[in-house]
Amino acid sequence: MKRKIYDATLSHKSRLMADKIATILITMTGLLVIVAVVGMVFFLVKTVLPLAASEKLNSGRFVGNTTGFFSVLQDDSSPAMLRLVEKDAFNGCALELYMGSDPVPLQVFYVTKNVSNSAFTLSEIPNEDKIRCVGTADSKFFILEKNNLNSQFEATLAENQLTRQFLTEEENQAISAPQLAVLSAKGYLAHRSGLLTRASDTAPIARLAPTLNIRSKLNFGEAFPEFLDSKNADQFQIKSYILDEHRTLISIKEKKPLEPLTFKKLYLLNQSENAITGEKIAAQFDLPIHILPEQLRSLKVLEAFFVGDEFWRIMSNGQILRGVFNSETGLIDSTINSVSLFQLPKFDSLKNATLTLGASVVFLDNGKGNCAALDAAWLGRRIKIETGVVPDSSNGNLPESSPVSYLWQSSCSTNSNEIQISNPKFRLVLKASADELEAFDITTGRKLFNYSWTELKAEREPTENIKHWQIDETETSANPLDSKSILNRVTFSDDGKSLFIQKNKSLFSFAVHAEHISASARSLFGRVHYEGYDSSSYSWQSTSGGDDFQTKYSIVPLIWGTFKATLYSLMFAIPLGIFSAIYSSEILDRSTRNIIKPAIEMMASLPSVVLGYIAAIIFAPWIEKNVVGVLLAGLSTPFVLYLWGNFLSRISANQISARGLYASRRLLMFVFAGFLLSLFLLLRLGTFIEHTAFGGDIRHFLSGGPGSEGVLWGILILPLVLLVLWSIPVNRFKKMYRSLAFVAGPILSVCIGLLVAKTEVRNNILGAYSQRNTLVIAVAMGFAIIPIIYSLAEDAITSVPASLRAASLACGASVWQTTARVVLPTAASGIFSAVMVGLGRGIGETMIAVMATGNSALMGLNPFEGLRSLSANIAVELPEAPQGGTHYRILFFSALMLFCFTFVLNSLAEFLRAKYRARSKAL
Amino acid sequence: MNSTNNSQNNKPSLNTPNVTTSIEKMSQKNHHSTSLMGREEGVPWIWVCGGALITILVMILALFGVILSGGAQALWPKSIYSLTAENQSQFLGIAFRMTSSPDAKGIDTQRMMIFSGNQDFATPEFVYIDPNQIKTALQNPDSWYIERLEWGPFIGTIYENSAGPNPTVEAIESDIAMGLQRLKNIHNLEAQGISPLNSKIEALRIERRGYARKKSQGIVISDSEIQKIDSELTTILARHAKISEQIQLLRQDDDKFKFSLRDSAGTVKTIPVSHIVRAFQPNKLGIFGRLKIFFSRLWEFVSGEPREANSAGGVFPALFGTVAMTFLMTLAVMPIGILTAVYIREIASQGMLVSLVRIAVGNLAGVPSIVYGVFGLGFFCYTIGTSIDKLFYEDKLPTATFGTGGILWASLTLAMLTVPVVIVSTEEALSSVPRTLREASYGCGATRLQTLLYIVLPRAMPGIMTGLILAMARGVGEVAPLLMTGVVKLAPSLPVDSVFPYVHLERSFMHLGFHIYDVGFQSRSTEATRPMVFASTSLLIAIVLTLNFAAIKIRSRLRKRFEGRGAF
Repeated sequence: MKRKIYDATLSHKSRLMADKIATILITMTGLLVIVAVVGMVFFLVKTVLPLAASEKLNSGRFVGNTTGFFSVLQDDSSPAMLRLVEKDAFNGCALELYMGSDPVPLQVFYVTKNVSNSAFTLSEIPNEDKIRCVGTADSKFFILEKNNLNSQFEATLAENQLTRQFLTEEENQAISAPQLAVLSAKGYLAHRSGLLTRASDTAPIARLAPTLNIRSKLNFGEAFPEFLDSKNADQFQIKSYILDEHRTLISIKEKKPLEPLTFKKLYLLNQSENAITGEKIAAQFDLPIHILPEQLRSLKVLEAFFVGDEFWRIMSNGQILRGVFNSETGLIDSTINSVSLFQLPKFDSLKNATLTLGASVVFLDNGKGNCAALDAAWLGRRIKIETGVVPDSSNGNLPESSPVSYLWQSSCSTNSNEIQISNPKFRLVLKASADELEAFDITTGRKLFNYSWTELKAEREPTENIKHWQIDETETSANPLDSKSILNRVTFSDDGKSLFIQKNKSLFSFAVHAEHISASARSLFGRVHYEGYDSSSYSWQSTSGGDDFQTKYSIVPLIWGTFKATLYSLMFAIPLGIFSAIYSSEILDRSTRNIIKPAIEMMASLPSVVLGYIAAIIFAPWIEKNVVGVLLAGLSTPFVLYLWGNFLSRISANQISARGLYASRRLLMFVFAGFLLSLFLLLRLGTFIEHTAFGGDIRHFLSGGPGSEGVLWGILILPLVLLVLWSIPVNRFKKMYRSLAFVAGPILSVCIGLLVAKTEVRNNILGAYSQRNTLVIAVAMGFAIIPIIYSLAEDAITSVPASLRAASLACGASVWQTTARVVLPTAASGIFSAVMVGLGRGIGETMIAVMATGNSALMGLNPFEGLRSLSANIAVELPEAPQGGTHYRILFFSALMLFCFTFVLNSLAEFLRAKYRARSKAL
Repeated sequence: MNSTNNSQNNKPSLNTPNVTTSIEKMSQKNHHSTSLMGREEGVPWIWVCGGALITILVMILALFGVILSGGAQALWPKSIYSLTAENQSQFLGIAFRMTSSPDAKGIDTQRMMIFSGNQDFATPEFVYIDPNQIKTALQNPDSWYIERLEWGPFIGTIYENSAGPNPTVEAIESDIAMGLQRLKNIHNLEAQGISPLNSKIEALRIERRGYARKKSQGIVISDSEIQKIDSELTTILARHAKISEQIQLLRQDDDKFKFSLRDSAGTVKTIPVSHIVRAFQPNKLGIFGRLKIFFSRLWEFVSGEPREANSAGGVFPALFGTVAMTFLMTLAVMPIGILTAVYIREIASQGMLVSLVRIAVGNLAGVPSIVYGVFGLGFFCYTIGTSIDKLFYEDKLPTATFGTGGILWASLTLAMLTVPVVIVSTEEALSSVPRTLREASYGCGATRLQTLLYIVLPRAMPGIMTGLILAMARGVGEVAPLLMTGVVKLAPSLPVDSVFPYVHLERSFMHLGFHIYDVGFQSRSTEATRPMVFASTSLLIAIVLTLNFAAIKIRSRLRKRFEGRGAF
């Protein structure tokens, strides 16, 4: 070492240089910690921020002029599009495939001279992202397949194969391609059971064979072509809804400019299986929607839907009409006697009612500035609850006692011609009218954006590029969207990311920025009425069962769970930690303390996964067997020990001289004995009480079984009663009185318990027992927190100057008086900061919470039910959450919240500690 | 204690009046109540405080008792009982413990839980029996306890070997030893012959894909390059096939040796001898024989590969992963922690900036570990990792190399988590180095760096070591951040192996703590895996406690060293 120093002194310059470099390096590393903390916050905030971004439409683009149909194929980044284009050159139409913003068609694959016969439909194949089917009105069938290399679609004619090899002559006549495509719109219908599943080895349809199924033996008949004719194609809106395994609803509504849609037809496609032969029987019903009871005939039917077997119609006066559908006859029993009819509150005239989201939610608009969402399934439940099987409806009205509860109500613009729903994942409802575009979140009714047509700007491509489209030169105003022309059509692309607007032959596309609709301040922190629920609630349900699953992202129950677990465990840890800190600092002799303190501190680094495992596997079943005993022991062990101490110090007062015995390990032995005795007795007593008062198993009692409410109250308020009894100042017989209090206390508390027993403790504070519950986590997490509280509190108490103690003792105060009135007040802020740090640890504790809580996102006071904490939720769900999605960002948000909680707590603790340090220095 | 006394002497306290008044009040009170206990007012409260301390100690002892006894029981060979119940049904099994479960009437009754193994036989794996119903409990010395590669342990008799029925114990044992040897040969061949070839094939394929990509981007690649790769691929594939054939032959040879096992119900099943890991007759074993089995199992547990979805066998990959991760974490945490502490104590002038650093350190220490996990996933894996993939591993995309969890990201995440521990204890150690030493060094003309390197740091070294060890102890036990940053149930290969570049920082790894969580909660039956989890728990706790003890020892040695040198 000397040698090196000598060497270094040789060159003065290099020495200084090295010194300087090292200083810079060390400073940089030192500041790295700040960078780390700031960077962490920054990164978390950056990930969370997109959640707060407001939804909007932008990158408006004029796509071109197009007539008749256009359809949008899903694509990841840039939408591909199928358009039917009128070709002047040969007086016909062509189907063209476009990619992205490319004005030149990628492929022109279908040309027809017969303009009247040029409708086409586009459909998806389930579980096949790369294939689409196109059917044309003259029964041609195309397959669009996405190329693996450049992700572009390519069209292949599959007409011949389809007709010749897969369909019998009869079927071939029955199913013309457009119908097929309509039926398989969104692909749902196509993969229902019982559809044609003939595999083939012939190309190119072989590629589709496993997934493309064509409904057989179903005559959809006559009604469809008239709606699909290209001349009036724009006049109809055709939608299909999947009701269940077997049933599909197809609604056809007529569109008139500047007017709401009117019902034309409603078809129910029903498929059943013959129980004996196993043969699939398909039936199509043209539902008689317009056949109404007499008093309703003047009204218009706005929407019709099924809930189970019940058929509901929404009338234009805001009445809802219930009917029973007979699947034998295909008729709706609409005689007024068996029809229940009731008025939707606040909507006595309706302008528009639209079924959305797989026929589960009806969007209502009264045309006077009020919108609401009605849960269709709720109607069915309401009828069952209200009236049993057959509703009593002789007067045509249901009792007023159960008003219709909307999922939400909101104000909206007064006009609406068309209501469109984006794909179920985004749950966005678009309301389009002649004046403006308005969008809502269908879950909460939050208004997402509102654009008047003048506000929407679309970029127009240079004219030479769109010559191809044969622009109508009269339409080249600065902003074609602004024109008062008729709104033809509004369509979302399948992935919900783009919106296509067709106004008088001009087609525009807009990017929809609404990725995180399901995360708003309201849905994260407020009560939301979710579909299928009776009322609004806080609910966390993030894992999706399917595409149209409604994700529920209320983090309130998670915050509740976090604080519930932490507070319960603090109730366990604070007394134990602080009392034992007092004991080991003030009473215990040094040599014992030097063993015990590091031993307890070492527990702070005990892996929490170990604690969680033991808590869940060993402790939870044990506590389940001794619920009453554990409650008793937890609540009254201190009192029993107090009594034991009182007793011992009375019989051997002379031996217990000042510090002599306290300081020895013998006292600890006595305490140990007392503790074991009390534990044993209380557990035994618990078993006894459980047998006598709760019929042997308190779990049955808690979940509604027989038992004594009063005894349970008695146990719960016992410590309170004892404390009250003790704090009554009775000077003369104090000692005896305190001992007497032990006899009187339990009796008194049970008496009080019996008095208040009318207040059902089971439903108010306690409730059904689950094995992994708050009590378990209170002990397990308390065990993790105790070392922290103990260690910090012990340090705080020990560092109280000895001179204070000496002064107090010299004045004649006893050891306990000195501790309680001199030492503890001085160390109070230090102890409080210890509790804060403990609280911080509890809030962030993860593995114990994952393993010992049951992870059910409940909100209740019941200590016998499980919970789901923020941290456990992150640990369980983040590994599965797709990067960048709403779920992912919300989990980051909860991490940010945890960061903030602990930041505040730690800063508070640090502040208190600093204050305490200054104070104890001053002493 | 000294310093507080001094300050007491020097500065009159603001709070002193309050304290004196409260003392006065108390003495007045005591004056009035002249009971026997006059001086010992509040004694029972001391008992309550003592009770709190005792509660904590009892809880700690109970926890360790449960874990260690569970761990030891998991490895200890227990006797096999042949039980006959009142209703004449017979069981062969190991008594586990008493459980209470509701009977047909819904009343809790105590039942003996008996492990009878034999998952592949018709009998249930666990039998619950009322102890009062047991008529006879015999220890049949001929019962075998056989640990197998598949289907868990077998309890019963070996009925026949390849030589014939009723083989002798010696014959069985030599059969098993030979079977193990054959299996070892096969495994060796697979490990040394096949797996290097596999990784070579994978590498060549990626290279080939890279050429294809470049070609599609318009970069001119000579076909000879691709052809070279193809020809190399063909030769390697041929070698691969050859070794596979050899292995196939060995397996065929191995298949000739079989045991017929018979359970208590008389069902016979034939299994290959090499599927037997360990077989013994526990009822014949004395205490030393059992100890031998115990240590053999302990060795397998620490050094062996896991079997049957981690629920049996060893935890070597998990242990290795834990140690490797902790080592990497220490590598990252050491320079940053020490340099930051040096900055705070030695370099920075005590001002705004240093308080900022202190606040940052305090908060890093308080931030929940799960938040680090979230940050690690979002920042290390998805941000940095994805960029690395784009730069260096483009050919492997879309399969992520660094863009997903891995041992590097896990250890960096844990390094962030544990760096405050190192900073705090290094700071403490630095502050305990007397200023006089530094002044003497400066006086001799040494620069700050020299003073730091040759005077201060060596004196502070034990304190720094304590900090590092405590950081390791903290890091070893953390599981929550690992859930997101690269820990897996079953890693196909260790993060360090014999294939270039030997250390694979991008690989996901197994971890003891996660092993406990995973096997304890996500496996087939928590009952059946319980012994294994207890053994792992004991191992993890042993590691954590050893590290802690080491830290305490070093710290106390440090204290002793400086106590004698107060004169500085």
